[in-house]
Amino acid sequence: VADVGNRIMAELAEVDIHHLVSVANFESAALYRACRAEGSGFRVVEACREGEAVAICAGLYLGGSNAALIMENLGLFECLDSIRALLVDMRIPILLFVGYVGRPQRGAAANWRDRSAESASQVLLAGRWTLPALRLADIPFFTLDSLSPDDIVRTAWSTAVEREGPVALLVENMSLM
Amino acid sequence: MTMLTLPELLSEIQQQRGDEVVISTMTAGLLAPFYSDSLRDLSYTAPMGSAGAVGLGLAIARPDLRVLVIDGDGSLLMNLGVLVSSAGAAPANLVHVVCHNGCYSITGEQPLPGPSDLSFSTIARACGWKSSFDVASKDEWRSCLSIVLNEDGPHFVSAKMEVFDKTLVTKEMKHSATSMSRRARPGFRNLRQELQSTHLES
Repeated sequence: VADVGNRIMAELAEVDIHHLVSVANFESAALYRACRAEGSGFRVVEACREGEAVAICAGLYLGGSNAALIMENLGLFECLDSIRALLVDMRIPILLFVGYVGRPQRGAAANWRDRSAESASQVLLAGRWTLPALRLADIPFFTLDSLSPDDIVRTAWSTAVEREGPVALLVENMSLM
Repeated sequence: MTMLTLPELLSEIQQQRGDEVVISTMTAGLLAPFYSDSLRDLSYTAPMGSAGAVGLGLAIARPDLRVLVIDGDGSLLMNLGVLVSSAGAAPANLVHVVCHNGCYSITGEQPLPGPSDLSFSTIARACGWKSSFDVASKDEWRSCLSIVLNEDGPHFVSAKMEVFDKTLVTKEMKHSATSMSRRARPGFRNLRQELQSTHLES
């Protein structure tokens, strides 16, 4: 798990991203741990809620620092207005690592199988909403899983810079990569 | 004691500030461009509640600059968690001022939820801010501002004030060149450019 987190952290550093803003999430925990480790060269900022995290990223950009944000798709739904007003309208390039809870075609994802039918239903609903929400916000997205090409982070960041806006990397679970 | 007004708060900032960045939002954001011609100003009104977090991010990215956030009380309530996040990150160069008039001034002065004696400074203190002030008059604000602009923070200030009569801000004022250059997208771009140039010089 640590290897995956370290690898993605190194890829972020290569594109001059040294700030990670984090809201509670499961899928990108490996990246969070890697960035939190002493000597990582990263500054991790913990936020209480996703809209707040988006605004912190905007402030970092204002000060000349690129940032990545880790959150779940459940949080993506919460912060769409902040993404609209700050990242999209202000044209701020940011990488959004979005935990893809309830990814379609995977059933209720492996880590949710032991939950009740009601929980599984909620998870699947979150999965179904994810791509429509990103399309609504006109946010390009890539999937980050074991089949992703090695340069996926660089490609995503290039897209964010070129489009001057947010780009999402959908993460099913880094620990399974 | 005469209660502090928003124009007095903004005017005093202009009197005392040096090269600090001032981020103002909501009613303060509408009014700020008429009290300052600094290139280091940013005024915006959406999304509500985000100014404190934008200020936090900027303060972290640029520890060489002091960042002064002028927030609304309704805005802060929409994102109260930022008081915890800012206290956790604890940038010494951050000053967060909340204009406490007890209502959502910008949307028609609807009263805030909660008790009328709500104390933002007590909340900030409990979150762990290095300092947390209450001011309610022009003299108190003047004294407090001289501290928060000169001593290491992070500092939080609750400024109790009268509701500002927004009809005094005319459409012509809102759409003036100065105002527009400080607001929303051009404001972000202009400020980033200004800060980048000073980064390169230093």
